[in-house]
Amino acid sequence: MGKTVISVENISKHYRLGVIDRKTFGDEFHYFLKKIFRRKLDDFVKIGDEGRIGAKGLFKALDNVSFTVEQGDVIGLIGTNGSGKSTLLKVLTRITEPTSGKAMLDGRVGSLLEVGTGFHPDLTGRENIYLSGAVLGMHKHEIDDKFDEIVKFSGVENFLDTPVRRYSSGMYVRLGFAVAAHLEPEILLIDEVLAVGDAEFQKKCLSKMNDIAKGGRTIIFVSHNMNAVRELCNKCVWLKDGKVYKQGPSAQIVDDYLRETASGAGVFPIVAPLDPVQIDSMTTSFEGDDLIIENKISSSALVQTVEVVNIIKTNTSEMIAKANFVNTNVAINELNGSATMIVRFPGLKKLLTNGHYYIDVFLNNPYVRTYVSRTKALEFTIDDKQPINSRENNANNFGLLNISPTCEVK
Amino acid sequence: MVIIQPTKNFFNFKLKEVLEYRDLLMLLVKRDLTVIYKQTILGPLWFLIQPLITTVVFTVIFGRVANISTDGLPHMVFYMSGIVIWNYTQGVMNTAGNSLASNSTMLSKVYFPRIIIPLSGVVSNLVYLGLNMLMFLAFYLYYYFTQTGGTQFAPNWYMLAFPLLILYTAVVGLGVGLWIAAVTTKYRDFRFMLPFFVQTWMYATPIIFPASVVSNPVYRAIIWANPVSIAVELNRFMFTGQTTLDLNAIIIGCVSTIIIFFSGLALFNKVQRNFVDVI
Repeated sequence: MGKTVISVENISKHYRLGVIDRKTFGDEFHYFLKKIFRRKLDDFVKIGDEGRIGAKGLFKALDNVSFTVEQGDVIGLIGTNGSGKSTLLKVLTRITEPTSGKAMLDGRVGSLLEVGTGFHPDLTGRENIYLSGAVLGMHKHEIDDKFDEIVKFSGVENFLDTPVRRYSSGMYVRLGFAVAAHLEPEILLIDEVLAVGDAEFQKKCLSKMNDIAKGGRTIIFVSHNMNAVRELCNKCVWLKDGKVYKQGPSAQIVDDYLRETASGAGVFPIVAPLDPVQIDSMTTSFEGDDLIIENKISSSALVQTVEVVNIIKTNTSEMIAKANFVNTNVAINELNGSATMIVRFPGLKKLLTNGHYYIDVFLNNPYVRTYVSRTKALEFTIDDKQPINSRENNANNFGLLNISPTCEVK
Repeated sequence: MVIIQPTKNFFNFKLKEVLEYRDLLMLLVKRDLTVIYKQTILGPLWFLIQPLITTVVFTVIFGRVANISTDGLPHMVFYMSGIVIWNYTQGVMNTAGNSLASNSTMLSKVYFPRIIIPLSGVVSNLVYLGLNMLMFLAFYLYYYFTQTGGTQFAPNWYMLAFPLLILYTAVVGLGVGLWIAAVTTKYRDFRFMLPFFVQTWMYATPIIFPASVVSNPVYRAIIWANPVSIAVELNRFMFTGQTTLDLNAIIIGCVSTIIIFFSGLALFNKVQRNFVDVI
């Protein structure tokens, strides 16, 4: 158990909606302006969020959020759009104040909500390093000390005295991240800055953040990138409708999150009645190490050539294996009534590491039309594999395949 | 230790935190001074040209055509002594007034004490004031030594209080600017009113006329209730010895300035907490 460095106690943040109740002179005046200018002066409600509107027309962006973070923890803050992640981050970075509640952050706090905060396009790279550094909370002498390092990390040595507006977007982003990466706060709050830049740069950012985390600093990281969260964070806080829905070890929470937010997992909605071909049910089972998928299909009219496509995917939607007409050589020539198509993936179980996997299903007339397409129609779990390492009981740290590599020294 | 909770006392100005960010303040000043010259040919010269043109226009229109009294002072010195002070007040007021709106992208991404931006305006406008004062002094000394253009100047020891005068002017500009920042954030309608407000305010300040020509007691009261009038008249008095200012007016001016400043600061404090939610 480490020292508690962040404690969030019952933080709430409410927004007033465009409800008009004229009780005070201020409200009267407000209404007056509204009437005259026909302008909505403060509308904050997002469509689909009606359930979170409280008694006085208040929208609860955050509703009694509490959690604590220990020193050295890397917390992933996850949730769907509109769940309150960004609002919470804005409250913790002091960009906006909570309506009620209290949060204590013990140590110097740095925040990184965008790349290149405070940059002015007309200033040179050199001037912007200082400006951005100061905006992020560094003292001038700290920037002096780290200046060379920042320049080296960014790789824009030759353009230091060029205004940043002439930079390519890649250079701009690199310089911005370089400044932020050399900020040395004890607590770092990061929003999805990794969404920018190319794959190479994202890798660099992730590894830099990994270094920061290893350095014993506390990080709160908001992201939709579940792979990044899984890789970087040891714990997760899952926000749903402005409340803490679940929290715990990140591997577990991320799995739960992906399963719960997966579209239509296990549910078979009614398909368009125009299509005669339907999928009635699907089951999975293992025969030894073989995965068997039984697809029961039916057609209300006579159709020619029906193929079944089964795709095995990871919970981050990477394709592992695929069975279709092309590699199974099986299709039904004429379908009228029902049929069962059994697809077998030999030896699949032996190959996979622990985790949740999904199956997509498609019924097609090959190259002509698709009758049914359902992503994440079924799921299965593999959990019987020995943890490769007791500390890292997290399959994805070791890839998708359950193979035991060996190593020898020559 | 950072404690985050709803602010209850808007008069808590967190001076310690502001001091922590003094490097940022200086860098913002540098930013404002550097950026403004980019892609101009004349660069900083514009800060001399602008007041010079205004002074020349005033000299022609109000001095020659309308023939408004300048208390016997040379036109250039009379108008410029007012314009220099007015420009500084207005400069500080504008940066403070736009501080939230014009930096909204940055403010929605990072925290620092918001008051840093208006304060940086106080400092950067000081540089322009310095340039304006140099030009004023050039004209002043020319008339002083050539003894042309009417009444003899009577410079006096009160000139030593010039820094205090500037401090006073800065506080007036800042106070009004903070009010503007606060009200325009919520109701953008005030932005449309702003130019009229500034214009009216300028006419209520003895810049193009000396306070001595105002005989109507109501107008007199209006002029002396305006804190900038006192600054302008004091500036003239220090260099030329000409004024109709009395101690009562100075006291009233100081008191109203303090009220404007602290109420503006508290209001700004209140608005900046949730400012990013309303932009």
